[in-house]
Amino acid sequence: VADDVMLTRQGIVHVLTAAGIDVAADVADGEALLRVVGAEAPDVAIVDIRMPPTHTDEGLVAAGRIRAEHPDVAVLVLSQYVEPRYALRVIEDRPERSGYLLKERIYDPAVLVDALRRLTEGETVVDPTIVARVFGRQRRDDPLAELTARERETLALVAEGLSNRAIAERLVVTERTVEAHISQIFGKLGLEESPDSHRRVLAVLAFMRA
Amino acid sequence: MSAEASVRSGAIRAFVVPAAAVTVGVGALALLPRVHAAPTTYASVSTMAAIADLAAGLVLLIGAAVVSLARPGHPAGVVALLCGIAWFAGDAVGWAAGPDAVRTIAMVAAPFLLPLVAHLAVLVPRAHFGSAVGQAVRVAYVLTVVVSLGWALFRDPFRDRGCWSNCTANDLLVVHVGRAADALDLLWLALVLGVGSGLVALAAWRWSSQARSTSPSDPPGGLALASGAVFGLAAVGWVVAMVLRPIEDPADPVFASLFVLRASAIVGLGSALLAMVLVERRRRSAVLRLAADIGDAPQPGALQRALAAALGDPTLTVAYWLADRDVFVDADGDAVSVPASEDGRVTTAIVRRDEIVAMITHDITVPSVDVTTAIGAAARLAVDNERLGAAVRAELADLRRSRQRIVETGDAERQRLERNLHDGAQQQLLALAYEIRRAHTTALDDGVDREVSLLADASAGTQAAIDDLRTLAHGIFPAMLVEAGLRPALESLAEFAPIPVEIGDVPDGRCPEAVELAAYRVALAAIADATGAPEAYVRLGGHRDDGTLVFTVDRHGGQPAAAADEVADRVGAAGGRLTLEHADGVWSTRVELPCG
Repeated sequence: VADDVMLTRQGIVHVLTAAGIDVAADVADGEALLRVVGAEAPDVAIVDIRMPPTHTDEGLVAAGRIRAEHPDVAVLVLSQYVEPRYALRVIEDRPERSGYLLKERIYDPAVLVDALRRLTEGETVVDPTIVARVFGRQRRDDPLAELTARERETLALVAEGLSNRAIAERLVVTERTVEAHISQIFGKLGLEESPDSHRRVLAVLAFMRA
Repeated sequence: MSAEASVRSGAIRAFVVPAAAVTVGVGALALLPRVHAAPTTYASVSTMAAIADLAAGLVLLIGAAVVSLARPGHPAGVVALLCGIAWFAGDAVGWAAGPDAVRTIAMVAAPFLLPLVAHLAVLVPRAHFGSAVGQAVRVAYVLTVVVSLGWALFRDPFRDRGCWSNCTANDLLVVHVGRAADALDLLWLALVLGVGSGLVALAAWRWSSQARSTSPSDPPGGLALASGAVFGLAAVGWVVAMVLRPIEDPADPVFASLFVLRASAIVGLGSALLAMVLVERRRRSAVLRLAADIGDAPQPGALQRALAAALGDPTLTVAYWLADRDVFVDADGDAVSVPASEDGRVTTAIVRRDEIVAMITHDITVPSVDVTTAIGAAARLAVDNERLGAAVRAELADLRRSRQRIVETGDAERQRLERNLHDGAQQQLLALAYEIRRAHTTALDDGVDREVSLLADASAGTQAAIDDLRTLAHGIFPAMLVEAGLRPALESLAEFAPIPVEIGDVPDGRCPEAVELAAYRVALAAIADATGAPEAYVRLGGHRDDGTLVFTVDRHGGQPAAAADEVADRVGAAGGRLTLEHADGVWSTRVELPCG
């Protein structure tokens, strides 16, 4: 866990420990994070987006280096910004085992534990608020206008990085129904369907931002 | 010499030199036919030689008179007069029937033609030669005194084997010393050779250096140096001829040609003097026309250009003194430093009512007196006009900078606030949210329903506060702008905006922060103005164009801009320009900002 604000860092560690997750180390900056990731080889690194020295995008830089140097370590970037651009930066060069969550989300143990589980299983995690921001953008010709409410809901879950099985659970339908839904949505939007669940996250987000 | 004495001596020269020149000229005209009766002068040998002799002397004397009248302070007038006398002295030496006293004086005077010609050749050019040249001229004078007096005291022309023009007269003779006379003859040959080759070398050096320099052209000076060089060539030729055939014979074609060459060099020198006066006249009248050239509504810098043209110095610069700001500025109002007088440049102060109003830096060859005359006579109004204009422009530049500082200070403060909200208040709210959630969990475990519902409300309230704070911080300062640039910040804005925002060809590259912020605010203001209007949307576009960021905002719908002045101020503070057009319900703003 890397966060320069001690209060936040301790809070995260507390939530994780309470949920029965083993915290290997907690550090205050990107350099220290890279050292402990190298030494401890954890399953997931949780990184605050803003860290010393400049308090701009150190977290994103550190996340990028972990992805490059330790491809097996999943990365979850925590941010106080509802900025789709940052989220895309986190997931665009390696969507699998990469995630972007808003800070307030993680104090809900269920959400945090679920995100960590999905990341370690090789999925992508994008905060629902980010997806809502992207989907909620005001447009003159909204491509979403062609979709039904149910289809929109499904597409949002796809953009959050959920697998078909997870979407099926969430919507209380069968996996086959979800597959059919997605196939129809992608057809309506003119998107190429990818069997790879994390690649389609990128495709949807990029499409919606264009 | 005090200024007053200098003025007085100038006035005397203005009268005496022309009078003397006229006297000598008239005397020469009257006496020369008689002098040339015997074949003891060059002029007596042929009509052409006689004409060359007379023309050379007269042109030189006219030049002396004109220079002394036009420029009483210029030493060339006196030197030219003496040169003319020395020239005709050469004739008088050979006046076979003339009084011995006259021939003796002429004999003493004639050799001085050599140093006088050299002196004159370096006096006319406006360029200042090194002190070595002045030193060489002085040495030539001294050696000529030695030779000339030595001959007078110790040479009996009657016993001189080489005598031709004067073999009888020497009233000053003390005793004939043959060896001394021979030694003096040798010294004279060496002196003539030295001065002659020196003149040629000087002219050659001047031409080669002028080809490289930017100093103003100086035709009279060039003519004087060229004439000096011709005289020098003739002198060297004379020395060679004297070595080859020791007796000077005016009838010998070689000696006769050398004489004509010398005479033409003297004509050239006299013409150079007249040209010098003429060029100066032209410059003076150009200076007098200055006010007319500058015109009724002069552009900034018109005075400098007109002065440079009038004084023939393209490198001339004018710096205006702004006493209340204690600084020199150019015509555009930009602070400049006035260089010290060095390296061929001189600075002339323009003083009005005991106060410096301007400093004019110009080539050393442009006389300071001309500069002050130019300013004093005709361009007085122009100086004041330009100085006031420069003061206003300096004031404007200051205001622009101060406006920029105000905007920058405000932005820095907003950025600091945004950071504080994110890193301070928001973190604390997050911690609070966490505590509430923990209490909520505990309450759930304990099964206290009242607390559970209260804490659930508190949790929702905290989340709302976090969201509000986030929106507030984003509105105070767009962090994305500083971190990623204009386009990403606009994309973020588009996702945030309550109306459709379409982003066209907004360039990707980075610009100065103030510029990006100004452009961002233009877009932000347009979105604010359009919000609420039915079907309203905003379209952003632009391009980079050779150091300029062109950013366009087309707002479809809404009322006239509410904060137009504030936005225009911002664009102005960032050094840009904003134009606004309205047609068919579309409000088009176009800003041009410096970038790159």
